[in-house]
Amino acid sequence: MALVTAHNLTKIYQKRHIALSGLNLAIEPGVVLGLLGPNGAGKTTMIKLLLGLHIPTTGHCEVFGERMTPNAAALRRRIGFLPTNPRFPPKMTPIAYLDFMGKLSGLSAEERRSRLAGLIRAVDLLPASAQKLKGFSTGMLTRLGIAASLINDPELIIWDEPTAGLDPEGRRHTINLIRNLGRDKTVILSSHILSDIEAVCSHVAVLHEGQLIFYGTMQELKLRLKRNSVSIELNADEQTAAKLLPSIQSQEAVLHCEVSGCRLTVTFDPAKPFVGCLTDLLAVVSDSGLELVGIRCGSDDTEEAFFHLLQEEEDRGFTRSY
Amino acid sequence: MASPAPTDSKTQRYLPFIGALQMDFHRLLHSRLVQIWFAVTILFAMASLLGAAEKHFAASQVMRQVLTTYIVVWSTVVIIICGGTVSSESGVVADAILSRGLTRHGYILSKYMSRLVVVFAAVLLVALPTSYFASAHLTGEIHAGDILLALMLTLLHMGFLTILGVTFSIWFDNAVASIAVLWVICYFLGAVCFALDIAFLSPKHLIMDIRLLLAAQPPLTPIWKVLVGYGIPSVLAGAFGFVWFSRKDV
Repeated sequence: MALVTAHNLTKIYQKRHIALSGLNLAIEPGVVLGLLGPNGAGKTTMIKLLLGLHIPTTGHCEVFGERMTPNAAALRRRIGFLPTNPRFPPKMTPIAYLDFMGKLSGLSAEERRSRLAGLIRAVDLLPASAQKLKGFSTGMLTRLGIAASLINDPELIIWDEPTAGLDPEGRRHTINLIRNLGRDKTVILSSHILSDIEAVCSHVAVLHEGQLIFYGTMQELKLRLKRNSVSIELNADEQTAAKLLPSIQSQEAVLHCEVSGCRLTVTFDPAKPFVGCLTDLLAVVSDSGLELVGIRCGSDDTEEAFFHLLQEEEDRGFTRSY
Repeated sequence: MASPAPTDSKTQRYLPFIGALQMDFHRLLHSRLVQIWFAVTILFAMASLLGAAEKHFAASQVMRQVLTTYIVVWSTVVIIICGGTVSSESGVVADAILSRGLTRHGYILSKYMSRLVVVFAAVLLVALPTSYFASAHLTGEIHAGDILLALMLTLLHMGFLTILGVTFSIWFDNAVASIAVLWVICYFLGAVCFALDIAFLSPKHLIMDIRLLLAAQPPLTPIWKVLVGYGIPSVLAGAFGFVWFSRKDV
């Protein structure tokens, strides 16, 4: 049975703005779902509807098999939510805040105490545990928000932009945390950073202008890309790399080749076998004596897959209009 | 993968409400506005008592002065405290509070309760000791029953304003707009009611009734009418607040 289901979920704000349109979705337990989409695509609206913070115009959603409503507090007690740029009472300390969050989740004093200390340590806020929140950096507040979302040991975790405002170390720490949590919990993760989604998510949902345009595994998303291009990085400057262009372009299967810095991007004829094309290309590089630093196939690029999907949807919309 | 739903014990059910209530009390009692208001009302009552003792005023005059100041002056403070209750928390409410195990009804009930308790405490903590000292040390007899009735009328007005303030803060998304509209209604509608000789909800009628009660005379408006006049709109405003908030996007 799906853990989260959306049935024809639609949200129209003030009879003017369609934020979400007829969303149907079933998220199975154990899935780490990445929610992707440009600004205004309806990601936050979808999250707020799933939490019962906003009321659907039509349709409904079910969480843990029960209908989510504004008063479904028992369902929300089993969810851990981290909002985008969470706001906190400035005069509170992290301990007081987490204790309050524990109370709001219905945890007894004993349960709160046992979880609080471990969480503060886990998000590396122990040295600042006695300080008031008004002096905290964005990264520290995000980490506190993460701790608050885990205080009730939730079965379902919904995090909206969890890596926003974090430094590279904090970001890596958060990604590892999501990876660990994803082993025994269901996670819904909204992020603009595609590499973060790629690093941790098993499934992806792409929203565009309030509509779900893709839902499937990460592999399925990448497979939608054309796979006939490759980008190779060489240990050479642009001039040296450009010297390879004539030999590459002379190959029958090569449709296009360009150089940018130390990177060569080659597009092959899709009718030719990709493995053969790649072997020939690597032979040219090997013969040149230049050192190969990296190689990346078009289908590896989640970002490109995402934009390809959006472009497809926009073209389809245009076709539908005319 | 999903573990079975945890048992919904009574503690689990009521703890979020208690937590929200405690937090609101904590915030109100640590608010500079509330602290200054409490201090000023206490100082004002003390000054009234000392001034009355010096000028040989009657006990009823001091009580009238203290109670009518709540209706005329301190109503503005109540409007400010209550008018921004929910609207000033927008954002935080959804992110941190209502995304947890607290129902909308629990949240809004905690707001009404904490505001009512703080406002009633501000009145009672000053008015009761003042009435005791006034009765014991000033001239003129004043009946405990009359004091209690006058106090009840004051509390009715302050309670109505409190409930209306919280309701407006739910209705309006902007705290300043909510406070401004409530202030205009409170003061200008009061004047309109008085001009049209409408006894219900008219602060001027209420002040006259308090004066008469403290002078051991029957009030202009029967007490039951005042009770109904304030009680029904208060209940309606509260019910509207509950219904509106339970259907609002936060």
